[in-house]
Amino acid sequence: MGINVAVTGLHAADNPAPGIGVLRSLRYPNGWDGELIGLAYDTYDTGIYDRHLMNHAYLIPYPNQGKEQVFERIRAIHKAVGIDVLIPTLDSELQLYQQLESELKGLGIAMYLPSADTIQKRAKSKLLEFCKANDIETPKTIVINDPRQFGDALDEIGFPLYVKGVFYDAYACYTRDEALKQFEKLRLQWGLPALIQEAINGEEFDICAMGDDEGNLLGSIPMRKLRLTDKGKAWSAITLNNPRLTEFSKKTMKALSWRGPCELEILQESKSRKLYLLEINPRFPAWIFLGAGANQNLPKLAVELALGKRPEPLPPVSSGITFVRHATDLICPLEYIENLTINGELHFEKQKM
Amino acid sequence: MPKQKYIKPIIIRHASAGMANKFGRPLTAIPTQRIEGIQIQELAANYGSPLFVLSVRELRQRYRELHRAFANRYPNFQIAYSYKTNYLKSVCSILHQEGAWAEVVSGFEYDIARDLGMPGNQIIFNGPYKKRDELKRAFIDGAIVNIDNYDELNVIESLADELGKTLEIGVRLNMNLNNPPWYKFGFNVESGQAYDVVRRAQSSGKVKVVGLHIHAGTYIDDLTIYQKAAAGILQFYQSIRNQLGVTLKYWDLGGGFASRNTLHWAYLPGEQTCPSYSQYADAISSTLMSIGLPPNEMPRLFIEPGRALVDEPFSLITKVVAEKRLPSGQRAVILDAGMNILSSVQWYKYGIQTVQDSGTMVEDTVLYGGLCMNIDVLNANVSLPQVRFGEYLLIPHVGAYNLSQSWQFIFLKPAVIAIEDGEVKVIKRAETREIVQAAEELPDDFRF
Amino acid sequence: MYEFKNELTMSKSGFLFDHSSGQTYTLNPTGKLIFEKMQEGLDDEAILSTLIEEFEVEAHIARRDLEDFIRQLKEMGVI
Ligand SMILES: Cc1ncc(COP(=O)(O)O)c(C=O)c1O
Repeated sequence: MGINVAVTGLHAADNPAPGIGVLRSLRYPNGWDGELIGLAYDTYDTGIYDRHLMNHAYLIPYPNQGKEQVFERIRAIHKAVGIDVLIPTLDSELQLYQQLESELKGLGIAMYLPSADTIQKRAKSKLLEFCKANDIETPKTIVINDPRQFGDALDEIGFPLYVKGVFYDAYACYTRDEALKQFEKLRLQWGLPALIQEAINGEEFDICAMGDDEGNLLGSIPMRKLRLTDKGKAWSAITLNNPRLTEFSKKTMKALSWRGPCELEILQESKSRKLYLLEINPRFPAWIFLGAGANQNLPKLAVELALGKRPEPLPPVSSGITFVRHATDLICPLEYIENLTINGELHFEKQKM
Repeated sequence: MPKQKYIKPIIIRHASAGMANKFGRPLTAIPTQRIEGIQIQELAANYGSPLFVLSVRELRQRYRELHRAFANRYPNFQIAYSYKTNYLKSVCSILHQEGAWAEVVSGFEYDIARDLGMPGNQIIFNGPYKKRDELKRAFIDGAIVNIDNYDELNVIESLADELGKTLEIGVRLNMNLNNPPWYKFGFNVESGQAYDVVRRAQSSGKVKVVGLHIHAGTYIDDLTIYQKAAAGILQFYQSIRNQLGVTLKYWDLGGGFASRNTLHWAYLPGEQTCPSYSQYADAISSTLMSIGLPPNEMPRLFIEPGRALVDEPFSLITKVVAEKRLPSGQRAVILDAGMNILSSVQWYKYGIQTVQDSGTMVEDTVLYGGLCMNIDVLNANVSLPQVRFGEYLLIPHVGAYNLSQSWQFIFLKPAVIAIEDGEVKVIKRAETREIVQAAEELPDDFRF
Repeated sequence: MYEFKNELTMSKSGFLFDHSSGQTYTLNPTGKLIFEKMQEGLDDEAILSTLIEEFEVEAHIARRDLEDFIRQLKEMGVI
């Protein structure tokens, strides 16, 4: 009997969500035995129109509609199609699914997520403390709660530096005037706290990594971005063979006891070649399908882990594999829209996935 | 053939973007028919609408849970209920039955507590403005007084002369903990101001510092703020103990714990982001316990919760008094309750529940209060089924600040009832015009 | 008699598609019934009596709701 997997995050317009890469990875290279179920938020989430990607698509309430409502909806879907494993792929969902973990388990739906405690530690405003405690380099950062700390923070960090919001926006600044201007702009738009961060000159790398229950590294896909969209998202990248990056992710994952998938953003300083941790995203990245092509299928690993298996670490990725993101148009009849708007679901005739 | 149940006809135009999908039946479409087992319609019929309803069971239960969470982790612990949150006599008195002390911030609140029979030595008197005669009475009664500023210290020193004895005081601290930091109250730790005031107080011989107090803000759902506050107070105590020989009888970590309501700027609902009592208790007591004193030498730990105790046990019953369609096509509903009795709508995106079954097809609706003011909006966008004129809605979790901060404006304030064991008791009668105008005079010269 | 501005297709589920503008709508069962009666050429009074016959509703409420519904159709440019 095949395993039925439900995946969220299916909208791939100008800022693609990871769910599509996850579904493609599961089907790679020879199709998937069970049913694949797409969980989407909007009638026009693009992925649910791709009949080759999934067997069923369902609309679910946004996480901000509350735990109970999301749970009720997933329970109804589970009753209709049976879900064995659920893979949430969006930042905004993580907290909700952590809270639903035991209730979903009660229904027989397994997940493999990082713990709430882990997530707290990697929050942008807390990353510095965590890194200090674990001897991991990260750009020096000061959290500003009170505008009067601003001047001192500039002196302490020195120029150039970044003025950053806790969730959005980062501006490179070279002078006090510039920094003050950007700080005021951020403060007006988002309020405080804001961050002042040391600007380090170097090259950026991304790693998608998977940790087991103790944070041991089971697989990692190091890559370097080749082309960026104007929003800074990769639309082309190449896999690397770089033992230092792998060691770095191993150490970070272990220090956080990171369970499940994540994307690490890492910077290598030009002169010293020291590695700095910039950010950790607690989910698969949108480019995850690259791994399947490079001999490391982390979504398949995630399904095994969710089902309680304890797989061996994967052999390293093949380096030099490239992806190029390519947008295409799908054609669909009016019934698709009608079914999604009125019933919130869409079923594709049974086909080998 | 029996007739079908009627639901108002609607057509919804699909917007090109930004419409939340309605799959997963919105909770607003699942009617809540009873509070504590009693029909909401019956309550409204008997006591009027709008109507505040207190579940006494829930209030007691919350107190007991909060107390247990801390008492299991800290040996010498006491809750002082923050009166300002809701000083209805019954609310305070029920919490005193459960064992709470009183935390007051004005002479008016102090009198309420004494009048209920609270002994002075179970009242904590805080706030930036305490009058001389109020302070005098508090010291005579043996109340716990936390000072806020130097001017107050001067007054207290002169009272010490007048009363002919050394007066025990606590010092309210502030630190850079959150955003924005609450620097208005007390003495700043980072700048050395707090240390200076303790030194000055100790050296005068007229007062003796026996307590430290901090209250970092309200609706704090970030546990690290409590960890930092506890660490800050601990470190400050170590410095004044070692250098100034101060021995504390208590430290007071204030209130500020969140309730399950959702703030306007929050993405996730409060029910998901609000930490549990145990998490708060852990954050505070694990830090304080690290001081490593034997249990009998540990200062007593006070907390002063308000919101986290009384928000959830209260609901507001309100009635639909009109339906409208706005030029934008959006549906609007006008209620008999307004922001005059629900001032926390400034901060909260209140949840709304239906009382009758109005079908499952929901529509984005704006809920207006009944005041003659354009800003009187109780929820700018809620997915609501087709509730009709005369039907009731329920707004849960309204017990904190709304009753004590309500304003008198064009309508009379509604009644408040309490339900326990299926029995309804009126704890505040609906206001009458006589009550509102009782303090007014109309001089003969002004008559016509 | 109401005149519909464009070619419209109503599906069993209450999903309405306007062929010339591409706009789509959802109607609840009561709305759908009224809409279909309008398409059949019934006037307000006839629609009203259908409503009262089939549903548990008082005449004055049904009349008000019908007026409101028709106003909405006009505002949306459907009729
Ligand atoms: C000194 C003090 N203690 C306690 C409280 C109660 O706060 P909360 O209702 O957030 O628990 C307040 C409220 O602002 C306060 O000022």
